[in-house]
Parts: sequence; C-alpha cells; structure tokens
Amino acid sequence: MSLVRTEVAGVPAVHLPTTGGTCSGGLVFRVGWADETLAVRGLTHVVGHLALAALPPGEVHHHLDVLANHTVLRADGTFEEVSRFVTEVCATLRDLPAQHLDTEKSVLSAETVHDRPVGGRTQQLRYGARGYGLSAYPELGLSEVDPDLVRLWATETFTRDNVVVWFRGPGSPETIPLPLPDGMRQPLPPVPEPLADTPAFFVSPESDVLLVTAVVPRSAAAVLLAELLDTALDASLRERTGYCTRAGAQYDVRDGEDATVVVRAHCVPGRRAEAVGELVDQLARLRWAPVDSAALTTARTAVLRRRGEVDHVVAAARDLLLSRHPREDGPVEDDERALSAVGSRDVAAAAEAFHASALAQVPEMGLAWAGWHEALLAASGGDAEGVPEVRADRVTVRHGGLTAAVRFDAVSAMVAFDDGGRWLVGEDGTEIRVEPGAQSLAADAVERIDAAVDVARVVHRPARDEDDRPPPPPEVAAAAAAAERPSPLAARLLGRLRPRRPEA
Amino acid sequence: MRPMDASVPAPQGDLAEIFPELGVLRAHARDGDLEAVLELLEVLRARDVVDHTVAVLVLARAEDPDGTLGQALEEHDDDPTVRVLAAARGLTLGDSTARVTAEASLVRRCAEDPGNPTAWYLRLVAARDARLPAGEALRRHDRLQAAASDHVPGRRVLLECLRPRGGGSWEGVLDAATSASEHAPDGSDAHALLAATYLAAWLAQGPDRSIASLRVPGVIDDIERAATRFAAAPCPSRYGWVAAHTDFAVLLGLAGRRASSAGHFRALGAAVDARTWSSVHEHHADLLTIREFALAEGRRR
Ligand SMILES: [Zn+2]
Repeated sequence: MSLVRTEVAGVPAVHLPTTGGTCSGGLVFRVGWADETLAVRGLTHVVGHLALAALPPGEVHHHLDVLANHTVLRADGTFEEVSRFVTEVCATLRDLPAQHLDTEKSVLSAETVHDRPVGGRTQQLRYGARGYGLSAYPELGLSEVDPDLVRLWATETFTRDNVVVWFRGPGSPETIPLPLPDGMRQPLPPVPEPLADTPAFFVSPESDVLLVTAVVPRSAAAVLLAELLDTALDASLRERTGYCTRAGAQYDVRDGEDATVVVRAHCVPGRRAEAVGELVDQLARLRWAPVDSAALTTARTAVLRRRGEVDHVVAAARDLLLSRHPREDGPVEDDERALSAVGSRDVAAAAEAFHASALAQVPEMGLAWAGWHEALLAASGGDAEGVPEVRADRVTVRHGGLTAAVRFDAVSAMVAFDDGGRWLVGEDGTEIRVEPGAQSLAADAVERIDAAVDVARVVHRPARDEDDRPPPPPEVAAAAAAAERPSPLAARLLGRLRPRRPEA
Repeated sequence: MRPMDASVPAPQGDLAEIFPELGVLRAHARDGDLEAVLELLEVLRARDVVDHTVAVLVLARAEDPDGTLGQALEEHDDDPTVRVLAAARGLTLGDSTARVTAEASLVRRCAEDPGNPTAWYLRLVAARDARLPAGEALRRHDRLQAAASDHVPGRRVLLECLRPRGGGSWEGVLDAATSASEHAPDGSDAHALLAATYLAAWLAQGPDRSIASLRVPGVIDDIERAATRFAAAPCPSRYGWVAAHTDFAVLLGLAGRRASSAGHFRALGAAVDARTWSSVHEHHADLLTIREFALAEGRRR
C-alpha cells in the first residue's frame, strides 16, 4: 500500500487508494484541547459535536475524536456517503447550528472522561494548567460556552488553512467539495522548557495509580520501547505478581518532534510499594539488558497488527499538520520499514531517553532510593492552613512555610461561585482558594479579585450548599457543570480563546 | 572478674582472619590487584553463591587507608563484578548519596543479570538501610530466592526488614523465622534465625530489659530444638556456621542454658560473628565465662 499526497479543492489531502471495498475518510483539523484555555476547556469538543449534530441521523457511520492538538472527523461507507459527509460537515462548520448547543453540552457533560488523555498530574507538573497540561483537568469551561464562542472558535480554527483531508478506498477524493472558510494555520500549543531535575517523582498516597510519563524524540525505537514496556509491565506487575490489576504503556505522538510515553498501572492496595519497586526494575531491564530479536519481532508484529490502514492515513494527515517541515510521504515511525530497522541498541537508547525525562506519580515509597529527584508540586493553598492575601498584581497564600501565588495576568481559570467563593488556577498549576465564608479575608478581597481577573478566564458556578464548603477540588466539582451565564463581552472573547505564549 | 585463661584465644570476629582464603582475598584487594580478587571471587561463586556474597561483604568492609582499592575499583568499573563490589562498599561505608549511587548501580546489575544472588542480597541490604516498606523488601527477597533458594544471609536481612522499625511486628518476624527453621534441612544455618530474632527482639526492649523476659521456657525449648536440628548434619555453608553458632551460643548463654551455649562456643573456637557479638557487649562478662569454660574444656579433651 502506498499513500498518495494530493489536494482536494486546494486543501492538502492524503489518500490510500484501494481496489474495491468500503471507503473511510474525513478531516483532520489542527486544533484540540491543548489549544484551549482551562476556562473554556471542552470548547473544541462542543464544536465537534455541533458539526455532526446537523447530519441526517443514521445516514453514515461517523466518529469524532478530539485529541491534544488535532481533531479527527471520520465516516465509513460508500464513496458517495463519505464524500457527502465531508461536504456536509464543512458546510455545518461554516454555520454551526446553535439551536443544538444546549443538547450537545448536556451530552458532553454526561460523557465520561474515558477518552481523557492519560498523564494526569505529571502532565500538569510538566506543562502547568495550559497547553498539554490541560489533560490533567476536566472540561471545566463547558458552562461558559455560548453560541458566540463556538462560532468564533470554529471561524478561527476549523478553516481550510488548518485542515488536511484524508481518504482510504476506491475513488478520487479530489472531486469532493469543501465549503470551508479561509483562515490561518494555527500555531502549536505552547511547550515550556523541559523540567530541569528529571527523572523526578512525587508521592500521591490518595491514589493507587502508578503513573510515569516521559517525553522522547519520535522514533520507531520509542514505539517499540512502549510496546515492550506494555508487555513487560502486564506480565510482571499483573500476571506474575498480582501487584497490580492493570499495567501497561503507550506511545502518544505529541507534536512534530516529540512523543509522550505513558506508563500506567493500578496497584492493588497493600502491594503499592512492591509495584513501585518492580516498575523500577522493569524500566532498568530495558535500559541495561539487551532485548532479544525475538522480543523485537513480537513487539513489531503487535504494533503493526494493531494499527490499521485508516490509522496510517490519519497519522499521515496529522503529521502534515504537526510537522514544521512536512515530508512528502515521509515514513511515520510505526510503519513496517521504520520498525524493522530498530535494533536492541536503539531500544536501549530510547529507554535511556525515557528515563532521562521521566516524571512519576507513585502511591508510596517514593523513588529517592533509586536516585530520582523529588519534584516540587505546584503549590496550592487557601484552606484551613492559610488565609489568602490580595495584592495589587496577585493573590498569595502562605502554606507550610512556602508562599503560593497566582498572578492576575497569569490566571488559567478562576471558578467563581455565586456564594462568593473564588478558586484561582495559575498557568503554572498553582491553586488558591478564596473562601469568604471560611477565611478571615479583607472585606473587599473578592471585589478586588473580580476586578483584576480577566473576564475571559472566569468560569461561573451557582452557589454551593452549606455542606459543600469548604469545597472539593475543582477536578471533582467540575463534573457538575451546568449553570448558564449571559454572554461575556464580545470584545473579550478573543482573549479567552488564545492561550498565552510562554515567556521567551 | 576472674583473670582470663591465657590459653583461651580472644574472640575473633574478622572473617578474613578466620578463613585463610578470605584473608588472601582481602590482601589482594588492599594491593589493588583486582584481577586476583575477581579470580578468587569466581572460585568462591562456583563453590557456593552464599560464599560469594560473604566474600563480597568482607571486601565491602575492608579498610583502604591509602585509597588503593578505591582507585582500582574506579578504574575497572567496566567490569560488572567490580561495580557490585563498589556498590557493596558504598552501601557499607558511604553516606546517603553514596548509598543512592550504590543502589542505582545494583538496579543496573540486577537488570543485566536477574539471577545474580549477591546483587539481590545487596538490594535487600539497601532496602533495609533506606527503611523501605516491608513489601518491597519481600519483593527483593523473592527475586533473591529465585536466584538462590537457600540464601540464609539474605533471609537474615529480610527478617531485619520485617521488624517493627520497618512497619512490621516482632510476631511477624518470629513467625517468619520459625517457618524458615521448620522448612530448612538439618544442618542449615537457617535454624539459627529463630535465635537471632529472639535476641534482636529482646535487645529492642532497651536498657531496662530483664534477663527474666528472655528466659521463657517454651521459647528457649524451641530454640534448643532448632539448635539440635542445626547440629544434626554438617552446615552446608562454609561461612554461615559462624553466625549460626554465635546466635545459639549468645542466646542460650543469656537464657541460662549454659551447657548448650558452651557447646556452640566450643564449635566456634576462636571465631564469633562480629555483629551479634558486639550487639551484646553489655553481657560480655557473663558470656566470656561460658566461652572460657567451653574452650578450656575443649583443650583438655
Ligand atoms: Zn464527545
């Protein structure tokens, strides 16, 4: 099979021609949740739902996938069905059916977080409460999403200059009409400097989850590393020892250059320390013990078996959008040729890269004994231990001898309860809770905060019951998003749509 | 105090003085002759993996006044056994940074060669010294057992990890020691783990502990039974019998079973296990009396 680079109505396209059989095809837009701000987290997802809401029901089997920095729309059927789907979705994106907004928002609220990218708090630590770090947060901003906002976001990002058409099957996609508006290729989400002291860990005793993320250069070796880890961890942590009920690893392309390898295991309570110890030994095996060619072959076969033709085409479309220098038909790292070229030294090198950038959340014991650094978690405060203080440019709170601060010009989101409570989340992930009912604050504290925080970063919530104060963390509370608010000032809208760039 | 019988040798706790080949090994190490060290370690490994572990521990504690050994270890750190040796010294002599470096090196060795009993034994020592949770110590002991099923020094360290200090309980340690003794063949030094555990539990009661609390008849009978099984066949470990006889001699001596204690001192001759012997320094006068009697009698025979 061979991919063909082509164009559809002036838009770049990738086509995997087949002789006969059904067709699959659709669009990949260069926008995803990492392009949002925390205050509107969920906006791309809403737009995606609305784009499909106007389709005649049951006409063609279709699917929406909102990922970190791209959104995939897909249909399967005859050539006519797929091409009609693509055209209709484009037309809908031009003029989103706002009358469906409330329905779709309640659908999204009910959707579980099953497809939330893994990585949790390690990603928050690496990226803060913005960009790829938003994977640690729920779709907090759904309640703030209104017709103006979805139209504006669609006009900005769902354009002909920010999309690649993909197609697998017989027929010529070149003829499909694409009534998309003009626009601009969107810049990739901000990526801060890599953390200095890695490998690093933090202990999170309230959870049985064992989580390690690492950012490695995209390569076939790293794909196989993740596959080998997946197999080794399932065998060692679950099957052989019963330390965990589930254990595995996966490889996720982050952008044109790097990928995130995620290790995730659910420890059996009472076996948490063993699970951490065993994980260290399994990671060490991949660094220090040469993997034999039989294991490499098995891993390669598994990767290829899992990845279907459609995945291959969609990956090529994605890479056109992510690469700074798009390659003509360049091989992606999980094709057979690239995977076959990987030897045991390459895997060891990938394992070394994994180790060097690893960030672990462990339930117990820590990893200082193994030489990992203890990570400084983003501070949080504003509970019984500290009373927030409102200054000219920030809110601060002293907490355990340290001072946590959220600057007003670096608020990722502020949850504003009608009962007066204010939860501020800084772009670095720092959280401060201001609770006029529970803390002895200055009389004008909330008023001054409201005046200083950008309206575009505010997420409104109804007053809480007496029982709910002091409240649970935002992660838990956000699922209960419902309140409708009047539309914010249109002039401020653009500000809420653009994540701030990291300081140079 | 009575004057010591001049014909009775002073207690010798240095394994390199007790066993000539370990003396030779240490001399090579002090000379920085790692080639000879590695060769001899291989001979010991081929004989018995526990002998290998004990020999590595002797080298770990070896003094290195002019730094010859340390320098040689650094120069040959491409050799995996040299790295294990250096790690053993880091764990034994180093500060907390050296211990972390040592553990990282041992993690690597265990990854390269998961069937390496000495590396896993040292991982267990590292777990004990870093006070890692008992579950992790058990895991490391499982790996050690997979590599060498009868590694009594390893089981000894595991029992130390299971003490209350590491989140366990004395009841748990005693159960584990009893079970180890029950499952060990006659002659195994594993029978002494029960005595070692009782002694440690008693010492942990602090300076106000009473001898009476050690002299619980049922308990001491259990230990006498374990001692009988230990004596029923030759000890399979060339070095392990020193620690085993010392455990029995000390515990039974303190518990008032002087005749039994004397039998173990007699078997030891000049030798004692340095760690156990020094742990009961407050009771040396009493124990030396038993020892002197035993050795003088042995001489008369
Ligand atoms: Zn959805």
